[in-house]
Amino acid sequence: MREEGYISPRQASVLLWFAILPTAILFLPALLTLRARQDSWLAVILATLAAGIPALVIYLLALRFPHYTLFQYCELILGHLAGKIVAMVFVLAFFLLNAVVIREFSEFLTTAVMPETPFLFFACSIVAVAVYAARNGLEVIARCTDFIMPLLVAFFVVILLFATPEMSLRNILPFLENGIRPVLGGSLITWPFMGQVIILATYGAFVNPPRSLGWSLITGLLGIAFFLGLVTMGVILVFGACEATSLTFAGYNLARVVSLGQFLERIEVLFLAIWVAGVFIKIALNLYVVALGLATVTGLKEYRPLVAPLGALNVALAAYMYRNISEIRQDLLTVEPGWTLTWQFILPLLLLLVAWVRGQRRTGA
Amino acid sequence: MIWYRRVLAVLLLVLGLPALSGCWSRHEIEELAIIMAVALDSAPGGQVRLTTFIVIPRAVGGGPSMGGGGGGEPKKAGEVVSAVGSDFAQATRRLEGQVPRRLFWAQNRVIIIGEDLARRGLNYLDLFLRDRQMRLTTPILITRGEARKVLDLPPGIELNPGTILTGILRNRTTFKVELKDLLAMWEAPGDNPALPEVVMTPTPEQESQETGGEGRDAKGGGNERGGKGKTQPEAVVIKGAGAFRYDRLAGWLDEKEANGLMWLRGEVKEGVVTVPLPGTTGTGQGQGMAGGLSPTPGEGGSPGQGQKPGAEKGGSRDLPRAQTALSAPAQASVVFHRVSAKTRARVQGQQVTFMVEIRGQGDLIEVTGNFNPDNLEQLLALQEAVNKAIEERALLALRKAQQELQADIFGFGEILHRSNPRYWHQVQDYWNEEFPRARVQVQVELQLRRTGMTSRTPGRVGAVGGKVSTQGTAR
Repeated sequence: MREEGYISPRQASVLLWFAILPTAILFLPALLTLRARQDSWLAVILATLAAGIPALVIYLLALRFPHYTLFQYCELILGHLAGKIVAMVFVLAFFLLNAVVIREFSEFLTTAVMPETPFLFFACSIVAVAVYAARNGLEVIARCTDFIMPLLVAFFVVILLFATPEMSLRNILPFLENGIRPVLGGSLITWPFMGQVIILATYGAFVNPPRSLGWSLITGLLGIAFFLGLVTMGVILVFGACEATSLTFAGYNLARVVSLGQFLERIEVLFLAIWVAGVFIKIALNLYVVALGLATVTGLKEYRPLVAPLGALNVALAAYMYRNISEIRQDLLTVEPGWTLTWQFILPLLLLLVAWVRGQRRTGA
Repeated sequence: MIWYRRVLAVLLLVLGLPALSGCWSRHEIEELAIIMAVALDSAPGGQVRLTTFIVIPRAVGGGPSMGGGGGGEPKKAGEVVSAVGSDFAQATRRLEGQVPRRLFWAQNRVIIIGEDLARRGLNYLDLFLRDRQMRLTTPILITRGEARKVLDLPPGIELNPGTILTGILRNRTTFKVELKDLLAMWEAPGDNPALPEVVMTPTPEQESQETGGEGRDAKGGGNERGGKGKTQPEAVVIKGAGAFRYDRLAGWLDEKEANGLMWLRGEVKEGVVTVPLPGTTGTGQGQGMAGGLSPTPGEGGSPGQGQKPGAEKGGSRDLPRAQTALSAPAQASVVFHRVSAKTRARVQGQQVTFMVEIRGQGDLIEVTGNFNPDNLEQLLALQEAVNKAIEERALLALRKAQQELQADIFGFGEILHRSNPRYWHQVQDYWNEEFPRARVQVQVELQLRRTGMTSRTPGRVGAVGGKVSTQGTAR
């Protein structure tokens, strides 16, 4: 399944930011402080280091099979039948992931902004836009990020800078109060977000030149760790570990406490605007990847006809996946770490091992 | 191919039309009842009373023209509406049954808790943390008696009690607790909440008496109304504090103790210390010390001023030089800034010691006795007296918290937690019981740097009695 057009390594790394950050900054800090308390920032760093392993695996696989997507080299490595099954597992996993993102997005908007608006309205509207973007191909999504990324960065800077008067540095002490175990538990919760780095194995095939994928991975991961670490740190510094655990959307609350000289207040609307744009990229990218993967597995020539139906199915799945917000939190805290470790960590590692043992590579092509 | 895509596109557009008629969650501003202040009280039968101050838009809109005309009594800018319920959600619902518009909370300026409700616990605040319209940056205050009475505050410079109270808080005469701070103090195991107290001063006469003829009433917001010559039934002062043990109100701190609390928590950023001018009389360190310190110049009805001997009040204050001879101590006021308080915890065996170091700089702003800046010893003695006065305050607050309240309202437990987590884990579950045993050392090092635009106290040197004047003339 060939996609016309290429993206630059820089765009690939920025896409990676968007694949992870939008939902992570909103949902992660509160869950993370639940486990790792004031050492949450350390958990983010540890999770980033852990995500370096699948990133390395992706890079090595990309060197063996340049210009092949994850779904394609599954088949090349494992053979026809097993390859198709494993590729299908990846497709379903991305599909499931996208449903979670759509649900998180709508759940947040209904809770925090417009409680009377039905959940489906948010889900349908963002997916409709995402379908449109995904049908236009990867290059279009990548160019969207060129526009949104400066906004996102400016937004991080504004919120964190203006929240500094509310911060008190002593909130991060004591360091490692209960030893390293809670921190490890925290990085396990961070993992489902960080592990999405695996998405670069799919659209990474369209990065030109392929060797620069390593650069994309490193800058992508560092950027994510930087921003996610800063937001987590900001939440801890402003609210303290005790209070942060009780705030469902700690990142959003960070934007709400900003108050500069009586006039620059209530900037959370800015947060919302940019955050919605970020989630749009994330959903569009996931949708694109799912459609591309499904087209590859089923041997279709075009992925485009699949995008809209997959989007509709995604909304339906998002609606039926959880009954309430407690189930979402429960899922993020207990189920997701294990599930994502399986398909984002172990599966790619197995692929690389098999490819290495069987000595397969497609560099000549 | 092309035509059917066009048809599809048009169809989609038509399908989108219903969305244009408006959106969910839409509320025009004309439909909103904007709440500016909230008072929470307990009601009989385990119920709670929610009282809100709702803006009357017409009154607010008419404000500027009224001012221009210089017309009579400012109209009330809002309406105070009250409802009772078993919790605040229910009370809110009942309130909606009385108000012709939809309640809008996001502009709420202040939350005031009544004494009885505070004794029942802070759990009732949940609605104000959970609801999406509420903001964690809302200041929260406590009051003796019923909180809803505060909302009856008459309009003055500001039109509604919410703005009046936040305006006073912004003057930093006392500490300010926002909902998020309260939540942090409440949830941290080594801390207990303390909230600034709103005091309703019953009559302006009483207030003006308290202030005396010292000519400082021009500065305070509350006093300015009195200055206009209007007879307002009630005015408001924010001073003192309500101290909590865990989530229940445990007791009250008076103005001095609240001030000491601010020093120990490191909340003091600016303010004024007034002390008897050392060296003028032998009794300088004695009786005059009791109320030497008031947080700011504008603090109107500070009861601390009552310490002045009655004889002084009777005498004409226009001629201070004649009066300050030996009977009344001359005073000096120091304005300070860039204050920082650092607290360290030390554990020796089972004994916890907290060492509080308060540092800062001060400038002399008022002296009512003879003062000579060239006399270094006098300056240092004054500096010493200022430091003593602050230390006194801090120790007062400490004594109250340790002996009476048995609650660590200073957050010392969290300091211990941060510096010595291992010991903290042994005591964290019963820290409030452990806290009275803790030793606290307060060290104040406020440095007097500048003496303002004049050096010597004006007046005929020598006419002022006391030792200092002789020292001054000797140079």
